[in-house]
Amino acid sequence: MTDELQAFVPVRKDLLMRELKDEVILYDKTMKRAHCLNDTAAAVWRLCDGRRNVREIARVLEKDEELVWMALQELEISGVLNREIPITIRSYGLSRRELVRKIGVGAAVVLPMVSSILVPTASAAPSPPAKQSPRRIRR
Amino acid sequence: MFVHAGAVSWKDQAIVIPGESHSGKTTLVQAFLELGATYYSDEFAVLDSDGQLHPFPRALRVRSNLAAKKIPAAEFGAATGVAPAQVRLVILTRHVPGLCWRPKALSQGEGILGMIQNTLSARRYPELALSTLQRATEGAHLLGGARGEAKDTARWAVQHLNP
Repeated sequence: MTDELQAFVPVRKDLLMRELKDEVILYDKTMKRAHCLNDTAAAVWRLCDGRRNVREIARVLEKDEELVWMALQELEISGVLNREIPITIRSYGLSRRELVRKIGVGAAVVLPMVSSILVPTASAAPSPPAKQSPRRIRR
Repeated sequence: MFVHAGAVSWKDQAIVIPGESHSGKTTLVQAFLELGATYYSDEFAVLDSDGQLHPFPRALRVRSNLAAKKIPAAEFGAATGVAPAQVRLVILTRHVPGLCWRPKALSQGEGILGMIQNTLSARRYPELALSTLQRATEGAHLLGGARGEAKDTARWAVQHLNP
């Protein structure tokens, strides 16, 4: 790993988070976007605490550095990291196809994936009648 | 929490069909009612803080040509739900004429994203929206994919929904 790569320490944004069984849902209140991180992406994101570089994250997770790097690129594209990947090292890493070839048949299951959506405004959908305005229903 | 969705129950199991206007929610709800499902809504799935579905049983807005008619659920021979129901199936779909229904199983996270796109006030109350949707989707089957005829989709769903 080059010095520049080693020096990069990812930092996650402080976002609203819900832990699911194998995934994490994040909500960015500023950008009004919701993200679903699969198991691999979530594991990397949790370790983006500003203290670990890619090699250290990979060591903790016992995963290939290229896999961690791919996760970071996915996370950065989704906007859930606080620190941008420097442009000089942004293209580092293997493509998904190359990574699958390297890791083997089970790679498709562990490749990091982040799905994102823009949460619509209330006016983007019809509102309930005035007497039924949104409220918290408690049983 | 109000989710823009059709909703029915089948043997006390709630089926939620999130979708924007003109996605075919009412047609699919109608197909379920004709099979004997209980009507909860063709417009809003109302979820409580435990993720349970409550009825919002306005008359169905059935579109034909350019007009929409209001038809009470009883005219389809359907009962209207009164008690909360546990969500057991979420169908994220839209109608594409001529297509065969080949649903894809979604993860809970994918299901939540699909539902939050149709949740009113999600921006205003994101914590509530996420916790409600998380509870609603726990233990539920989550299916995605475009569908053809509503009758085929409804029949498939009730056959695959285990009591």
